[in-house]
Amino acid sequence: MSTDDSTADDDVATEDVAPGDVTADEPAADSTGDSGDDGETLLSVEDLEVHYKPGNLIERYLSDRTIKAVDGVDFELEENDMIILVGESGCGKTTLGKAAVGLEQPTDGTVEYRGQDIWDSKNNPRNADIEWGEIRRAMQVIHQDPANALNSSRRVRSILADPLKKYRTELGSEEREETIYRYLEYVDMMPPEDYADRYPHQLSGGEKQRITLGRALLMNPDVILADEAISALDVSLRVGMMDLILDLQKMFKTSYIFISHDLANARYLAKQAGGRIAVMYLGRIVEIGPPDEIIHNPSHPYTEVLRWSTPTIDPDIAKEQMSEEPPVRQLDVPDPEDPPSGCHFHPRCQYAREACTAEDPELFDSGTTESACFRALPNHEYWDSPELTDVPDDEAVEATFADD
Amino acid sequence: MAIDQSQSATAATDEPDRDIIMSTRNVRVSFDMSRGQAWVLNDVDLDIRREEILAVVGESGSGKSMFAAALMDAVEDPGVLTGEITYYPEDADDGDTDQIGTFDSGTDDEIDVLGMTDDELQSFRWEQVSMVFQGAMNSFNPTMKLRGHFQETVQAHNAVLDERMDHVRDLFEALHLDFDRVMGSYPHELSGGIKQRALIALSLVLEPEVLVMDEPTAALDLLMQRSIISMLQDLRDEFDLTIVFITHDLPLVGGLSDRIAVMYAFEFAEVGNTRTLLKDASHPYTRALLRSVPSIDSDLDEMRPIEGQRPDPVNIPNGCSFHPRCPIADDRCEIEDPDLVGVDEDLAASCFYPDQSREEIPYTLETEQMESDL
Repeated sequence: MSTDDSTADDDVATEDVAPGDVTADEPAADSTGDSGDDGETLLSVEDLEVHYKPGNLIERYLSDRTIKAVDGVDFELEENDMIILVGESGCGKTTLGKAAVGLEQPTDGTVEYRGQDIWDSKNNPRNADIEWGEIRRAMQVIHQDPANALNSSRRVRSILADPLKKYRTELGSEEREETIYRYLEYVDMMPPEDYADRYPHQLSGGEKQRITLGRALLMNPDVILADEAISALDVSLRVGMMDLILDLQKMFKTSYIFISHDLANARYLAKQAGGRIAVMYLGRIVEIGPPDEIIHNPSHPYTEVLRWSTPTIDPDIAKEQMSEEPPVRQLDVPDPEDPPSGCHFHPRCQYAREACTAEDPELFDSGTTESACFRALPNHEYWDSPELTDVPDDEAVEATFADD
Repeated sequence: MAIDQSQSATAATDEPDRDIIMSTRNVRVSFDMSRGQAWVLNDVDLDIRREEILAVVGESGSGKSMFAAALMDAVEDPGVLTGEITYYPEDADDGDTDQIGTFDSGTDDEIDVLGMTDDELQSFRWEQVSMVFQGAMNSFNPTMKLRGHFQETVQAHNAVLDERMDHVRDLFEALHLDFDRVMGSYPHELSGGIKQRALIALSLVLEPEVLVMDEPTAALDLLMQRSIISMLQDLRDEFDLTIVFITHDLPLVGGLSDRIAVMYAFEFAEVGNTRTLLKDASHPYTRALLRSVPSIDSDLDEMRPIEGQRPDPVNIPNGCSFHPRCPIADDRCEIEDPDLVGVDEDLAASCFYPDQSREEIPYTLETEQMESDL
């Protein structure tokens, strides 16, 4: 790690030719020094809840229906860290990501950036240690579809100049130009002079996504939220984009919140970056831990389901797996407006017992990961409680859906 | 490079082969664009075998959906479809010759799909070959209960309603659907997974021989996706179907398909038995693709993206269309376009140098714990 850091810094130093263009441009060369950075809590999310009222204005007023998109989530992100939120569509991973970087105001709970409550900073700027504008700058986003994230009528040069004009007002036009070229080189767009003059439609999907990554990095952020940032790319290019993100992470020491529905890609990123995978189900993190444990030794039954659902490429193993029954009691996800009592997963869980219907498990240390399942606790009453008898078959699955 | 007559996908079949249900020869789809003519399917030859599950795998823009549309002569204007597509109906002396709908194959044992009249084509699609599209579950009429969709289809083909509904019950059972409840529901009352499964049942209501599925699971949750894959295999076995499964997701079909056809730049790069093709691919593109797709348990250090970009349909490279991105391409690849020729038993590739490709482009499917080199 340390060798990587120093080489990255050296590169930066030699490239830093413009006199006015100093360290602030390079997070790796920040005055705090790099080695001490790791381990410091950057972002702390506590008991976060984002509840929506569905329907139009009047319906929202009259009904008391709520959708709990995120319902009580805690996690911490350190400097130079990576957390990958994994889950199926509708599990709340995007909402959690947005709330964590301050793009969505939570209905309850707190998000702290370096100890500063971010919404407090916005609402009571006088008492804030860190200004809202500074927090916004420190947290950047890369969206899923790069084609819609870039203004199609502007050249790459002017797209990238915007953030510099707003946040780096000290730069003259020449320095700004040089900075843009340097960042284009960072994201592998060579020669930068050529790419800077192009319009988005003259770029391939992968190149567009690299521009959005470069644009996010130009803000010198501490955290980047990457929401399905590789899903829109060709299959054969995804690894390339992930490698670029990983290389730049080493160089800039940015922390990432990566959102993915694909366990295989999540594993790739988490393993290479030394990060964690957080599995979400109906608004909660149900298991969080290192990739090897999540993939090969999951503690939560839902993680097992995701694992089972992700096909293996080896044809021999895949053929064997074809005959395996799904490790669930029912296939469909329950209505998020009316989640089941107790553990939200219990109607589908193959290990569910009576205890699971009454009490809602929090995240317990399972020894290898943190898992929201009573089975992680050897002395829990779960083990003495009777198994659920109302095994829902397919008809019951369908019936739950007729109600909505 | 001798062509293995019996195994090669391009082997000419003068006599209709009982094992082959559809064959395509020199199939080409072109579009006139302001920048010039674009080929989105480029002289494609392929045989589809009876009762197999054939996976057509390609990245976005490789022409795989166009191939699916071509099989049913359903290429939309202004696309122009040329070439030969032949359908071989089941032999009349097979016993079960009861005609279900309006389609009458007569005594022909081979049918020219592109030469059919509109009426013939209308009955051919649904009764012989039917199709399920990506996200097609959203194409149900929102004001009509599902039963109505089935009745409408059956009646349009003059089939016997009661008999068909009995068949649908069987199909629903194989797809784990509750007949009465699903039939009595409006589309918005059902989840995406149920709708997509009901749509698969609808596409099979007139007992077609061939089911073409274009990314049928793409818009669904992982678990539902995986479950539908398992159900498809049961469907094939129970109803003697031939399934053409089109996808961009290579790991998805490893357990499902009998054969895989890999498309690159509007042509088939490699066609072969699933196991052989995945374990020991011979085309540089297939090998590079396998090396670029991280799977849930493969070794990660070997992963590399494919350098370069996919070709523009207006400007497909001369010679082998993969040569600008191919690590082993030489002068010959720049000039001459390789045909799909047999490499192994049941594996054919469009490459001049399959052996060299196998030597020089490493990839591994081994799980990381084993750590052995392939």
